[in-house]
Amino acid sequence: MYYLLPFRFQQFEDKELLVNEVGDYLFCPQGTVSRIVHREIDSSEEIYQDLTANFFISSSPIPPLMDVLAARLRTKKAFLDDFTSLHIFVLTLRCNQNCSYCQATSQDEQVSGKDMDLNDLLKAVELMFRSPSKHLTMEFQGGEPTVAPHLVRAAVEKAEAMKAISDKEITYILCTNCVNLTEEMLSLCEQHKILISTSLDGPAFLHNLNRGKPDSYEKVTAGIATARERLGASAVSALMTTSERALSYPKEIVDAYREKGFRSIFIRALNPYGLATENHDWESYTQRFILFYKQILEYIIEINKSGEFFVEEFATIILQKILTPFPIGFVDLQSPAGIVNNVVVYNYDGGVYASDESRMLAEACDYTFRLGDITDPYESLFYGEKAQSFAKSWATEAIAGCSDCALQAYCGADPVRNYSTQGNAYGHRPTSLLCKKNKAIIEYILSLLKNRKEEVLPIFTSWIRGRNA
Amino acid sequence: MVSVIVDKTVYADAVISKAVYWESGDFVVCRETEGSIERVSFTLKQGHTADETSVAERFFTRLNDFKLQQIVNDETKDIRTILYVKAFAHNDDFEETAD
Amino acid sequence: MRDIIDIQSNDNALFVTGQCNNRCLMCCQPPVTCDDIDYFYAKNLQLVETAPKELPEIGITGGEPTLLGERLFQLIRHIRQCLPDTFIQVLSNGRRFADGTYALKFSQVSENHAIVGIPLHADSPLLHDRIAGVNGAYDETMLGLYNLAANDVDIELRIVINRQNYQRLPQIAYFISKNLAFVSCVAFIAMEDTGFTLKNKEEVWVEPLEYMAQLQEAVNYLSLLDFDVALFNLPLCLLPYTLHSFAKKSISDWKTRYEKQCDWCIKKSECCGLFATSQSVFDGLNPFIS
Repeated sequence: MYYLLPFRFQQFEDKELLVNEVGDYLFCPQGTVSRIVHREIDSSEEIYQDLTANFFISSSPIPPLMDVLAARLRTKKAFLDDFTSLHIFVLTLRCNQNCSYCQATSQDEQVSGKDMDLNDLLKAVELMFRSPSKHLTMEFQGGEPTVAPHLVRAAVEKAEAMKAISDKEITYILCTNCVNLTEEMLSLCEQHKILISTSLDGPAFLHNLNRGKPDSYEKVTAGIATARERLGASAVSALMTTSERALSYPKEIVDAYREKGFRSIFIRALNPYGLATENHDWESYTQRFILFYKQILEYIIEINKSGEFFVEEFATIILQKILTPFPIGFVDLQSPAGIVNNVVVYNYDGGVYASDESRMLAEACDYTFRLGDITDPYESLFYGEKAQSFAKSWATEAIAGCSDCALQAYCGADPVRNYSTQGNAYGHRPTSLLCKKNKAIIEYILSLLKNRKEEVLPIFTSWIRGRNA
Repeated sequence: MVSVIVDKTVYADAVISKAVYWESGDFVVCRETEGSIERVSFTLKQGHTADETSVAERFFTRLNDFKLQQIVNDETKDIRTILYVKAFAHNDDFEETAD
Repeated sequence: MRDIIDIQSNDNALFVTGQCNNRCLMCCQPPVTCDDIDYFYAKNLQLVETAPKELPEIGITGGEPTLLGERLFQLIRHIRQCLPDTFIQVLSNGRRFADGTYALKFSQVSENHAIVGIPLHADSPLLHDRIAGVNGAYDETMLGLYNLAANDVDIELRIVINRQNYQRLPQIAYFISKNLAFVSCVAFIAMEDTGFTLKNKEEVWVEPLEYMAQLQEAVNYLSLLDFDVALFNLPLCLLPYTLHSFAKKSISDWKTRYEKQCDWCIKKSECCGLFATSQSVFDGLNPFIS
């Protein structure tokens, strides 16, 4: 006689995939779940041992190792302990580029009234320090933050002053297109160890096409080189966004990154916000993106097999969730969702928003995910009614379509995306393109582990370790 | 339109609802109770290109899977509650930061 | 066991009792029933007092040391006082540490100067208990491991490879990677052909060459996930080249012996050799000749 423990399952190629409450997985012969549920598994079978060892079934009604399972669950969700640790400061909406897919609805550099008020900025830094997290990440975004250097300086100086009398540590990140890295900006970065995060979409023709300016690639790569020289190579990282055109150039994009000396890439799909909404058929984009992702992953695997260490970051996050017991708090792929729990945005308009996408909605005058004003008290912003209302739809454990999904432990909830694409924060999974995309990618990675384990395991684990053998 | 008969003494309402949920992207689904059975009808939505001929097979596969999952959920409801309480109830930190 | 401390030796252990609350099928130190705790306790206090201060490591072994109850703490306190720079290695089945208070006290007296070597026979409770010879041993050992980890005590997880568990070595590796990620080290250990191994030969004996594939898979998996992995008691000539770096000179020097053919082997000095106490010799020994 045995007792069931919480788990989920799905058909997976020729097998059944079982995943328990803490993300441990088993591939079993088809029909296993039915046998388990109908008490047909005998204790003499090898699979009985697999199931008891891995917390799918127990020999007693209350498993003796309940405390172990609880400790595992607590560990898995420990990213929540730090609460909001990523604080995004949208200093200005002004920009010196004109990217066709801009998600931030950037304005012309000369426009007025789109900078953050200085008093709001200082107040926002004070709000940041109210976070229980011992380690804060302060990320400057825009528009293009370097067109408002006085604000970057004021923010960092205020943060440094507050840090000196606190027990917190801060990582500064400047999200910039690198097109105009002045001496002033570089020395500020050098002085306070500000990391640079820039956008590199791929080879020159692609990057320039996306950015709407013919010399953008030249400027960005020159900027990257300058920043690396000045601040060290490890201080500069790059992100790409997969525009529709990019979908036809998986290898070229990876090669462009390798050529520029990057050891990793984060393959991100386009978000349906800002100027990006103006185009397309998102259904078709999603299908093509999934194919594109698989092609890129295969190419990167080949590169690693030839002895070159090169990481795909999105896959690495998923792999950590599959192969390790550790807490992985990645804002776009966690449950409870990243909004408020992980990230918060202090916007140039004086508002506090639940996430980056939340402030993008505000540009279309939708303030659904605006938590309040920067001048509001911390408690009402982070624990107030607005924040609490999001909780109804921010856990995959508790929403339709996700609550019984086998991939729940590896995926995440995104109420803001649901709202902006489907009309409500709760969302509808069967028509959710985010669900389709995440599911396809997670299943692909699991499939590689299932069918090509010997080939991919050394590569995948090297990404988790962050280094080659 | 494709129509199937579901025996309600075999499949609980929650199970039928879940299987219906996953077809509701491409299909308009209509449910009619007739005593102990339910007639579930699928009509392809305008402009959608899903395969109508395979919806019955897909639906019944889902019904069976959700039925199994429901048994797991029902039997593990209490254990799961205990597990979450044990995992998270010790967070005394809240007492400290509240003012 | 020996009852002297020899600073030149690679193995100085205090034998604290022959009693044990497990009955492992392959136990190389079969448990006794008489209460010998007082006898050894007095002897060991003396040994600790007269041991050289520069002694790098001292072991506490048995039987099952936690059967000493509070006196284990007194012994450790005594070692901490007399030999403050000596690192303590306790071998235990871990079951007593299922009592959280006991684990806490242990961490307090050992003051970060101890590591506990705890055997896990299998990932599956049924199999572990069958090998340990006691129902419920698995549950207590697992809870013990967690309690020690919660109190920041270093743990060396030991898997003694035998006929009952060798086919599950890869599954055991997966289990460790998910549930016991906090251990400092995972040691896969070949059996000593003595004690209960002789009595249970058919049930437990398996040649290293028989389990090499599973062992390789398990070691590979754990080391890829950044675990510290060690192989104990396996001669280098029985290991594929990729596993050589994990092999340790694990056999107490006063118990080590080599075969005649080992005289020709160029790796003899790095190899752990064989147990002088083992009745049989492993199949397939084959010296490395340049």
